[in-house]
Amino acid sequence: MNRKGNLPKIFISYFIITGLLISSIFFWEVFPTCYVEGQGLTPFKVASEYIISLILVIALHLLYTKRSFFQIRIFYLILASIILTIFAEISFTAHVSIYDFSKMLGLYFKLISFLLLYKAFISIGLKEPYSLLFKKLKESEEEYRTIVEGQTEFITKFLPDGTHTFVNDAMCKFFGITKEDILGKKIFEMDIGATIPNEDMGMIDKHFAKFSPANQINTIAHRFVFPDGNEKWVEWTDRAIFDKKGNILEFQSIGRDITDRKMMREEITLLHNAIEQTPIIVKIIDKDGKIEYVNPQYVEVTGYDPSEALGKKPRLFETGFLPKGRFEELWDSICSGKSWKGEFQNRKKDGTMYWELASISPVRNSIGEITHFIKVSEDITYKKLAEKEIQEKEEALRGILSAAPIGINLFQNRTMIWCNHHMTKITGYSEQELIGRNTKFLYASEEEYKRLGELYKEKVDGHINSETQWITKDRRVIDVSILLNPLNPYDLSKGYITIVSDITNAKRSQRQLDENLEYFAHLVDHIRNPLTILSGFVQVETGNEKLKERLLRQIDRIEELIKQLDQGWMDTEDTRKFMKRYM
Amino acid sequence: MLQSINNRSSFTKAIHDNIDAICLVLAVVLLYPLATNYFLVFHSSVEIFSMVIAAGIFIIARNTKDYQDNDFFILIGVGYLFIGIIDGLHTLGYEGMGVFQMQGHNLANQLWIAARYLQAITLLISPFF
Repeated sequence: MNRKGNLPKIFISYFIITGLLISSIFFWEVFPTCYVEGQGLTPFKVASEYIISLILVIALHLLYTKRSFFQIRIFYLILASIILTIFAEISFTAHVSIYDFSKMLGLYFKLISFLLLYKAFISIGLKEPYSLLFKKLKESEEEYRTIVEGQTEFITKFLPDGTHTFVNDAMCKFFGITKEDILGKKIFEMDIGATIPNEDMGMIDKHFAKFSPANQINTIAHRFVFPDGNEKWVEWTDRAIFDKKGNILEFQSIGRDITDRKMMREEITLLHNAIEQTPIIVKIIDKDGKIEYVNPQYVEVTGYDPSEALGKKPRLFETGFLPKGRFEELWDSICSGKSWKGEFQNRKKDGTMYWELASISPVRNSIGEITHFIKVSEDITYKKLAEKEIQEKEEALRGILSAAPIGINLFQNRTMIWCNHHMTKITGYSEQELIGRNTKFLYASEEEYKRLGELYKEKVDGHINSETQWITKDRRVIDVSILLNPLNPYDLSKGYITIVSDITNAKRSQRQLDENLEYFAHLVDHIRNPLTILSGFVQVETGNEKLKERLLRQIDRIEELIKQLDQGWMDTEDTRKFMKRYM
Repeated sequence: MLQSINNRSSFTKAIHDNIDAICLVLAVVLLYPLATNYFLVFHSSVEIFSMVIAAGIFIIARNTKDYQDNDFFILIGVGYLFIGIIDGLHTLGYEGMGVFQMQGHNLANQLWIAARYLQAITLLISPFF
């Protein structure tokens, strides 16, 4: 069935053959006799009918082998037509009289056989031209086949009893099977490896029960469990094809693997739940400024219901009492794609104020356009109140410390970061001059500066007391006592609190006392010599025993006094040494 | 009311669906008195009818040849056209028609057999076109 364009040749051939046949009958009279008057049909005629029948049977067989070339309905009509032609021939072999029943039957058969041909060629050819137009049909079929086979979607056809009549590659690939595993098998009886969970079966039954001529397309999503335990979701869109009487002829079904979509949906649900549960206010605003979503925390904090909030255009992202400059900064930031963070006060539905710590960030779609803004904020009113309280307390404390008649400083890395008022009295420098400077300038010598620096290196807790000399602004050298106390004994980098007292006067008094004592000792020491000499003189030079005795008694008394003084000195000396050693 | 409309429409639908079979039965029934009483008229009618169909097949085949990727329909069309022509002569040459000078049943039978051979051969070779 591949020759084409031979119409003139065929026509001429038939013209000649027909011409020869007619000529052989009418003019040459060579055509075998078929009927002899009085005797009836000749053996040639009867044999011819059988031969013709035989030829037709062979034609029938040949056509049957080529049935795939035909549209099936046309093929059956041609087949029936040929069979009736055979019946007609056989009827004509039987008749003996011209007018008998079998001849009439034969004519009926002929009539019907031609009617069937009419049906096949004229009716179908004109009403459904595509059935006749093999080429177009084949081309479009090929086109559709490419589309159907090239699809990533699963395409299948099955009869109402579930027997599959078509399946495409994508579906075979999905289940990891061949077409033979599916074709001709019923839906629930085929071995495709994967199974449908029992829970989904009821849903599928309901799905197929839904079809009617008024409802030809239905969609269902269900699971397949693969032997390795994997679960996949497939969504089917089934179309039922009905005949004119409303009976289902077949189902055409398109399926797709929606596992990823399902998973994503579940993930979205999860994240959505998280947002609903969070104690943070979440608000989604579209690019026109309309509120698209608020979470329950928003409702709780502000008092506005979602119905009141959704679709509304909050003024300036509901940033409340945000200064204009800060708002411009916010706008610039989010428009350039960055998120913005800030604190501001806002008003609730009932009019009370609350503090918000908010972060506003833009959301971009896949092509980089800003589609939404997300505002995430926290009600920090309590934090703000606590902060204020702490600040107040700190100020009170600072006031007390400032007023204390003793120098109090905060050091970090040997730099003064805070000092009280009394420090300015001690050093003569103003607070501005003191704070932020390395304290080296205060020390009388570099050695002392270093010594003080080394002091706290080993000790871990408690405080250290030390004395050193400082130079005041007016270049006086003063003695100071320093009490060193680290803020955190385990992390000295946090700094120290030092308590400084000016001990210059105390020192001076001490020194004077020492000097006096030494002078006194010196004096005492010097009294002894003249006293010894005096004693010698009295014993040698004085004859008057009575006077001598009286004088010596007086000298002894003086000596006794000096001894007492010496004793007293020794005590003082001990004290002095002790003091020298430990202070 | 609605019920009856429904019934009527389903009835006409049934007629419409089976129109071919109904026509066939009507044709057989109506032709039957002709076949028994006026055989010549019956015969002529059947033959003319087949000739018309044969000509129709040729016309369809002839005019759709450009859209077909083989000559199957062309062969059937041309074949049946000439079968129809011979059948026409057969009808005219039938005993009792009195068109041709030749008398008796032989001529009609010869033309019949010739047409049938032509038809059988046409169908036999058709799968090869």
